[in-house]
Amino acid sequence: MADNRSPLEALLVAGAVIACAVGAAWYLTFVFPRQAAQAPIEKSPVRAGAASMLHRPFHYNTPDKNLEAWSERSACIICHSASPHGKDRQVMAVINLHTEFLTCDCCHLKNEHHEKVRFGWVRPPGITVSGKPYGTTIDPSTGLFAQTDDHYSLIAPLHEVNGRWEPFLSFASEKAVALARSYRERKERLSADERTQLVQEAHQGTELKEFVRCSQCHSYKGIMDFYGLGFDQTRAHQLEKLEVSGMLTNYEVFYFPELFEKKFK
Amino acid sequence: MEKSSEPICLPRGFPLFFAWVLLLSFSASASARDPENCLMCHKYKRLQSIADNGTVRSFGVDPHLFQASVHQELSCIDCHSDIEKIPHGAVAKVDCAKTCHLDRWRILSGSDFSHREVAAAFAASVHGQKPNDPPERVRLKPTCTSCHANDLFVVGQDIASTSVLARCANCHKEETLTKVFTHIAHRFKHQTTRPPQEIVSLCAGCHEDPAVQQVLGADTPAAQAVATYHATLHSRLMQFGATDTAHCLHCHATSNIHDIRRPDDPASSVHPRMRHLSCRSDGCHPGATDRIAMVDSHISPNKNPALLFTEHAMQAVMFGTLTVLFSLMGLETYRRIKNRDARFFRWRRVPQRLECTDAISPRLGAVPNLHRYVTFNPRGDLPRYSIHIVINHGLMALTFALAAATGLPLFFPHAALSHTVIDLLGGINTTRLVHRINAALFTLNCFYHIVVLIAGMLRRMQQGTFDIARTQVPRWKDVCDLYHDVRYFLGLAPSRPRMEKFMYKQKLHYLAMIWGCSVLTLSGCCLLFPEVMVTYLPFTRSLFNVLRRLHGEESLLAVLVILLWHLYNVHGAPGRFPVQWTFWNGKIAKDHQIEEHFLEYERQVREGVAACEEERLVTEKIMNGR
Ligand code: HEC
Ligand code: HEC
Ligand code: HEC
Repeated sequence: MADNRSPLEALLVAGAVIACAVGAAWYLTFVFPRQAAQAPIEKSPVRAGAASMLHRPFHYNTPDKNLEAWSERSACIICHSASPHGKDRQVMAVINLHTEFLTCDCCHLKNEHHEKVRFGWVRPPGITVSGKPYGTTIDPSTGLFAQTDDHYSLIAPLHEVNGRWEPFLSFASEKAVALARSYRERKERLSADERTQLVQEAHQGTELKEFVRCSQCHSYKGIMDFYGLGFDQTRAHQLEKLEVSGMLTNYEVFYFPELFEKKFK
Repeated sequence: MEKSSEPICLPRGFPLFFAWVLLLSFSASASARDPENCLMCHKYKRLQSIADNGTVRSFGVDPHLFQASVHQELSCIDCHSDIEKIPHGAVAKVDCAKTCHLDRWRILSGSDFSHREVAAAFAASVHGQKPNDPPERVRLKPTCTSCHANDLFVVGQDIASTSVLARCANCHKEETLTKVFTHIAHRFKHQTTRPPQEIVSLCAGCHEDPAVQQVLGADTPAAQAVATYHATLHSRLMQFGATDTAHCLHCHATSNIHDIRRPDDPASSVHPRMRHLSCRSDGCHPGATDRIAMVDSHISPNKNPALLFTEHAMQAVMFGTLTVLFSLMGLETYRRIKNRDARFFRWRRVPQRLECTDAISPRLGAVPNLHRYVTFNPRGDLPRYSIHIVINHGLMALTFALAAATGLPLFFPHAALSHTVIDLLGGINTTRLVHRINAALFTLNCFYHIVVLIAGMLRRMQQGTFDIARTQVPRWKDVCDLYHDVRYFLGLAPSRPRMEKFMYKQKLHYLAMIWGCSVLTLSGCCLLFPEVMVTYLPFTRSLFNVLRRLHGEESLLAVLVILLWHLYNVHGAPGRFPVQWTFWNGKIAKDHQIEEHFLEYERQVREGVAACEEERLVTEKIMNGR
């Protein structure tokens, strides 16, 4: 109960208390409101809904799930990207569209391997799906590709190894992927010779000059058995004849797919 | 038509499914309109080319979105009309103002369809390219596709299109009728298909861009338009999802939407002479007069220096107030704990024994720190407030809390918590209504309090018992009391000062409340009745926006003071915890009365309302033979 009067204690207490008070007041006046004002806009349901689907263009890039799955698992894509074709301006986009469905060596496989090859589906490890691969079936109600959860499977040439059908090593084997990654990371620091050597190693089994022709696949007796691969009838038919009916009737100048054929026959 | 398959409510995240079902419901032919079979190649997202500079360009078209878009009736070459062979090379830019030969439209209006007129309005607007535009301006100016990205064609779910149409279809078999009907219904329902939030972010996309701001002149109001818009209530409401609030286009364009012009252009919808018409349109502010042009609809300190001043002044006031209050709180806590004036929990308090050395005269005021020795009823012993004041306080607490909960989130529109609160309270529209009704109650309560005060004063004057010292009117003594009290808290004075019914704390608080209530009420009126207030408020030009700004700043201060100081004094201080029942029965406990309102206690003893504790203590002491 002692009201022992000690000016020193009073001074210390006053100092401490006022310092704390100034600090707290400063925080509440200047820091807290600003923090609250600049807080990341946590999207409330209303706000999130605002950027709705209503206003989405159709000329746009759909999220490319296939690329997400393969971008670090395919040696070719690591070095070349998923749109590697750029030489011929008129056809490059059409060739590029295949990389969503085919592995590179479907078209770039060395000729000598062709005899023993059979086409099948490969999927990146760790991904499970229940539907059929995207692009193999048509939804009759829309005439468009049926919805599915399998955006990952690719058609690949398989060869028999010890009685099992497996993809070629150059494409997605751990070794090939590791080589591609190390090339990507160390590219700048490599000497010209080292580079050539690595690139050569990466292309073992890969044909660089001769390609599988458009018509080798897109024809009734093509190297790909579209039915066997699980394409439905409509789809297989479209691919076999590269359906052109609309174009024939609607274009005065029509030379599709002759342009491709002339060049790659 | 498939009637039953029309969904009532669709979960988010199934947009494609949504588009697809809509399409099934409203269009007879399901597949995309693509007679040239362009989608054969263009449906692939990897239909990509690489430009010479290495950038990848994608030519993919999402067929599902195309089928559901407002342009679903057109085929690709209707717009990309320079394509004549396949495969084609580079394609010219699409001219949106060209004429479309839509049969369906011809049936409806007798002529071909075109966006020509809109394009003309656009060309004449600020956004159109002008002959004398410098190149850096031209580069930044938007084109049709900067804003329009081929919306989906959506028919409001609440229009019973299928059932209405079923009747029509008894006679009209044409598919066209269905299309025309849904088209018109779609427009009726969606004045614009975009939510206001999207419009604002669309405009902000360029107008917040430093490159654009530079061209507009970095510190001009035009360059800061987005930021100053976001300071307005229009924006705040919108950010919480309100749909009946003004976004950029509401004010800056007429119903033509594209005729956005400079504010000094007499044809502009925001020209001072036209502005009130824009405010009136859409039934937003039907009473707006041309005086509304006097106030800046953006809250921009550049145009109104008073705003900046207010902001700084409020900060200074807040800082000062909080510092003083926190210091007092800290000092008092320190002293109460040190002196063990009371146990922390009120119910644990036991009166101390009066030591022999202490004075034993039974006179009023003869025992220093008397409050330490008295017994008391924790529910209160002595009358303090009338029932009216108790009601006043209750209503005040209720309306204040509700006002803060429904209003403050708007002051912090970016904080996640604000959105949670508003969502919890039932959305922004409900919250607004609640806030307004609550504000009316708040104001009524203030008037009720004034009536109570005046009546009480008159009664006392009549009885000759009116004493200004017992009121909330500040006096010099309060300053002396404060000084004395601080000395006591610091251990430099032996006991607390003898204070009146209302001590300095209460007076400070009460004065702040008078100021706060007046500001909040007046500024609330500016927010609620802008049309009326701009007409009658003096110095409208600067005062109006200052007041609107103050509404938030002042309430923030009030909330902090109440939360931190008032709650501390009443509930949190050691010895007062957890509660005093004064708010409930108007009574104050004896020890509290003696400690902080000694003069009132004295008065009550003299009037015979309270017993003289000194007398009791001394008698007890003598009887116990101590
Ligand atoms: C280590 C990185 C790397 C990997 C992995 C790689 N490439 Fe290459 N590829 C290159 C480089 C570098 C060139 C360019 C060589 C040159 O210009 O001499 C090239 C060139 C090519 C060429 C064009 C040759 C020409 O003459 O135009 C083809 C075709 C090709 N690669 C296919 C493939 C395929 C298919 C795969 C996957 C099996 C693959 N590449 C994996 C780096 C790689
Ligand atoms: C549909 C068959 C096909 C597939 C699948 C394919 N390519 Fe090719 N690729 C070609 C053809 C045909 C050419 C020759 C183009 C030319 O000469 O214009 C070519 C050329 C190339 C070239 C030479 C550069 C150029 O611009 O023409 C590279 C590099 C290449 N392919 C890499 C790849 C990679 C990497 C993949 C897998 C991601 C891949 N290709 C998948 C058919 C294919
Ligand atoms: C290795 C076999 C193969 C070769 C070679 C090939 N394609 Fe294809 N192409 C396919 C497959 C498989 C698809 C279907 C992908 C899907 O939708 O699942 C396809 C799809 C297409 C399509 C889209 C057709 C449609 O209806 O969706 C076009 C166009 C096309 N290819 C053009 C070409 C051209 C041009 C060439 C030659 C440069 C070519 N293809 C070479 C296998 C091949």
